[in-house]
Amino acid sequence: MGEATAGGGAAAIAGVGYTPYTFESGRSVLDQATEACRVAVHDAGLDLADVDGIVSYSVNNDSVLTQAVATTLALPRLDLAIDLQLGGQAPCHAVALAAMAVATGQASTVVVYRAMNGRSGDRVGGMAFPGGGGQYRYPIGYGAYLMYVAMWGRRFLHETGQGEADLAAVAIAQRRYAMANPRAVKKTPLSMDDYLASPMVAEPFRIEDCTIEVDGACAVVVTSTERARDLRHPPAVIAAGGYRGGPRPGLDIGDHLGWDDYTRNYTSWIRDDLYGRAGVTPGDVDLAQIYDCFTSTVLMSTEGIGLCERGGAGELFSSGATGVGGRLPINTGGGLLAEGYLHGMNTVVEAVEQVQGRSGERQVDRHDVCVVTSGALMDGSAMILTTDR
Amino acid sequence: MTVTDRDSAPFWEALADGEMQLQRCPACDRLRFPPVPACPYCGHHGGEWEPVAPTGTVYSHVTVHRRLGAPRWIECPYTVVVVDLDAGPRVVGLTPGAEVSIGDRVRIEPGRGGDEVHVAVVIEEDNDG
Repeated sequence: MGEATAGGGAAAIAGVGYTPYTFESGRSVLDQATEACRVAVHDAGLDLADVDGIVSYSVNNDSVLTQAVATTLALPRLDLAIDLQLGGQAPCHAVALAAMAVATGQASTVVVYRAMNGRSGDRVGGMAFPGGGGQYRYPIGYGAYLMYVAMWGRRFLHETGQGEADLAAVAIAQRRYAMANPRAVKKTPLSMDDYLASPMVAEPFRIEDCTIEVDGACAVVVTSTERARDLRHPPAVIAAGGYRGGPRPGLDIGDHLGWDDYTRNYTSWIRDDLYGRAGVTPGDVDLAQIYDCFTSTVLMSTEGIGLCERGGAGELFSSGATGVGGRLPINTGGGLLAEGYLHGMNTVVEAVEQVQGRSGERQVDRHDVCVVTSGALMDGSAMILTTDR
Repeated sequence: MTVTDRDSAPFWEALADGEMQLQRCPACDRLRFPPVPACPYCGHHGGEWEPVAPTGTVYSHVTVHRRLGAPRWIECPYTVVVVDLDAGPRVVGLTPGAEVSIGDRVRIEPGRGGDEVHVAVVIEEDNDG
């Protein structure tokens, strides 16, 4: 078994940190990265000098290097520095790499962060990705990431018999959580009428189907589960986690021409290994944080990661089951759709706080097993966090 | 001229001449797209170009209502179409307007917008609806 199964309970997340998520930070990315990491380390009850590893990720150099953050955190030494060139596929992958380093003794305490001026600086929504696939896309106006996800979404809805009401159900259910989330940038209520009145961007997506770009940074701290037990918060144990791409993942993030099935993303490929390594089944999952750059991604990944039958995700969301007090809470902070687009690292932060039992008004009752996903299309990552059982 | 790389140049040159050419793997016999130096199905390094029928079926499509960086000559709304060629591989192309459905029969033509040749998708008229 490969890195897709890293974790095994030896490592845990001990703390989280984040800056405000804004439309115009007025600050450098390094400034925000440093704050989020420092807050996360202190939140865990550790000192900066305890940190000996950093993992991060960026798209088209929109962030700062881990060595720069090691400098501004005044770390005495650095034993692990990983700068992944990935977007939303990265967060669970990054945490799993940190867990692997801790489990193998290459590092003892690793900070994982995402930092960006994603709104006031380079916006991924209009970004041209380097790679060989661009020549087939940019000359025909197929140049924005949401179009690729919309292309999959259209086929997915067609094959699973779902439609705009199912996309709407995701946006509406998540907004209810966002209204109780101080971090969220979208906190106004969202009704079906509001959703249907939302302007079409790239059909089948309306504005309300899309995440909202923000400036900001967030971070988590990974250390051994044994050490985490003595720290400030109960450990969020990394029971399993890792990256997975299927065959022919493409020349770049927008090249899906070699991928056979636009109705099944990486979650379908990683699911069995993930639960198997964690020693749990989808039926054991108490809550989930499903990567949600767009609403169709939530439907596809909720089905792909085994939380409902194929074609049943829209009904799951419209039934109220994913909401406050529901039988399977999903995206309890309002998700990237409402909290803001930190490329899924903030999805991990929400998961950790829930598993640690400190989400305040949004805290779910049962939080022993949480599945988290990162990414939307050919490749991505996922993990299972548990309480210290 | 469309920005090409060494792997894709024969595809664009053929398309500009009105012909669809793809690479076939001499080891496993699979056609492939986009052009790459080795077969993504069997790993054999190499490929041989051959003409294929420029016809296929719509697998999925996205109608774009906001420009989001599209070249100026393209009018909104327009539709980007992923086509399953009858020859096997999947290609992506452009069609004006929004009247496209999954399963529509289409043909590929060289598109002449702006200064570059592109993959134009023409919806066949005998599709239902």
